[in-house]
Amino acid sequence: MKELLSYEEICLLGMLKEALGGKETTAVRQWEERTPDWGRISEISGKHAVTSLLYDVLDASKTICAQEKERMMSGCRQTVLQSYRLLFLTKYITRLLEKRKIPVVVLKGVSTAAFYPVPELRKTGDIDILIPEKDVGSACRAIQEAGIWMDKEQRANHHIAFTTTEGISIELHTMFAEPFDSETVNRYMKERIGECFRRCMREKIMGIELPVLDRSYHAWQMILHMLQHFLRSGFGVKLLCDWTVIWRQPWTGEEKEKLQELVVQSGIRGFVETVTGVCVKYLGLEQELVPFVPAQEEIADEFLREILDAEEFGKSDTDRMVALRGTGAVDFVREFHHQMRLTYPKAGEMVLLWPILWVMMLVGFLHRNRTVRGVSTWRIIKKAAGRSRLVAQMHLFER
Amino acid sequence: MKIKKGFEIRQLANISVVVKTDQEKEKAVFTLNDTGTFLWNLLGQETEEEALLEAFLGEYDVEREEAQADIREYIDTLSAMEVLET
Repeated sequence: MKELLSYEEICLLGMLKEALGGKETTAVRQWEERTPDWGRISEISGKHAVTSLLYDVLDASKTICAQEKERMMSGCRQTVLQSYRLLFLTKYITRLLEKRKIPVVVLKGVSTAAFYPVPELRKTGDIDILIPEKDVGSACRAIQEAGIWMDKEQRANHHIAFTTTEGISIELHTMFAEPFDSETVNRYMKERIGECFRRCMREKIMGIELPVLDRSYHAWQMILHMLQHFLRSGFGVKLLCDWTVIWRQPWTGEEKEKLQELVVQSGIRGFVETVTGVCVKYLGLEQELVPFVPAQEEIADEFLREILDAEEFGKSDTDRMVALRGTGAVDFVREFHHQMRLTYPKAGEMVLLWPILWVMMLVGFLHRNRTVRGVSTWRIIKKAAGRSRLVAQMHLFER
Repeated sequence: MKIKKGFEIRQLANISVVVKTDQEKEKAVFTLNDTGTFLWNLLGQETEEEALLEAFLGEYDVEREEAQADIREYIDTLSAMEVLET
């Protein structure tokens, strides 16, 4: 029977467990007892954007060759510098908007890095800022007046993307995630935005004070973001690391209760339990810190395999497109309709146009499979069905 | 001379990063190499150029003239960046 994880994957997870700094950091260091293929570890950690988190582990390792060590550590140093670049740009953008009396909250990247033992070592690629929907117009004007241009092609319905002259992407969010295939959950997410601004707090991150979500909303946003990517092409190990370190913060009982309410009301408890199960089993997350029951080991194992295969944001294969909520024909049709609504958000509100939009969607899908992705439609459907078995066990969006 | 208030040095991943915490966007971060970090730490307190040179010669195996020129360049660079107060 094929092993669930390769030796290098086991070593990488062990290294991350140590790097994340939990209680069980004195666990057996397999990689020091039997030399792994360090090139392979470097490759996997790079694809999951977690190499820089390994800095201290690499520094202390006796089995890694000097050349590989220097190569990986050089990447760590680049991450440190990039973290500061993004930190100061985040500060600049938030101040710019605050001067115009626009409420802002920093999401993901820099704000999540704050939970790590060394925040500078968490690799972050862009800047995500949440603002109220009513302020979108003035926020866009303020950013453009600062010489940062709006992207010509906007790919998401829940944020507006800008790019600086240095190529750094800034996303202005009005929602925590793209609309899901559940009107109830989408409505609930929308209703919660006002409260999240009221619960926002100012934290010092790498020496700079920034407005961030409180822990309950931060964790909820984190899990919604993971789910959004999981239901598409997938996400990588870095987001599991995020979920592990947020629980080592000083949570209050009220914050934990609030998160439970948010998770239950949005019908994502099964997903949260699965993510927690993986983090407890493989990344050393202390079960007693989390107010959710970790999923059974077999489900956690299957989920981890899926994440390792996905790489960061599901970049690994062109046939990874979606994961459906079930495995039946109805689920395929429902997902197809949901994708149509995401692709044509405005036209999709008019029911009479649906037949036309379905045809456009289908033609576009088949055409892109052939010309852009270079993969057969059958392979995409087969992959989606395989991943959907896992999703079905999570009973998504059921309250 | 010494380093002005508002600068923080952090040593991680084998590099020293100097962060100017009250500045916006550009030029708020720069890095130092080993010798730059050594001198920076000395400049945390009021110090004269001559004292820097002696400490440097005590730490590194380098000719006096070469060290003197490097320290002058270092001080000039920091002064131009408005990092030093004299």
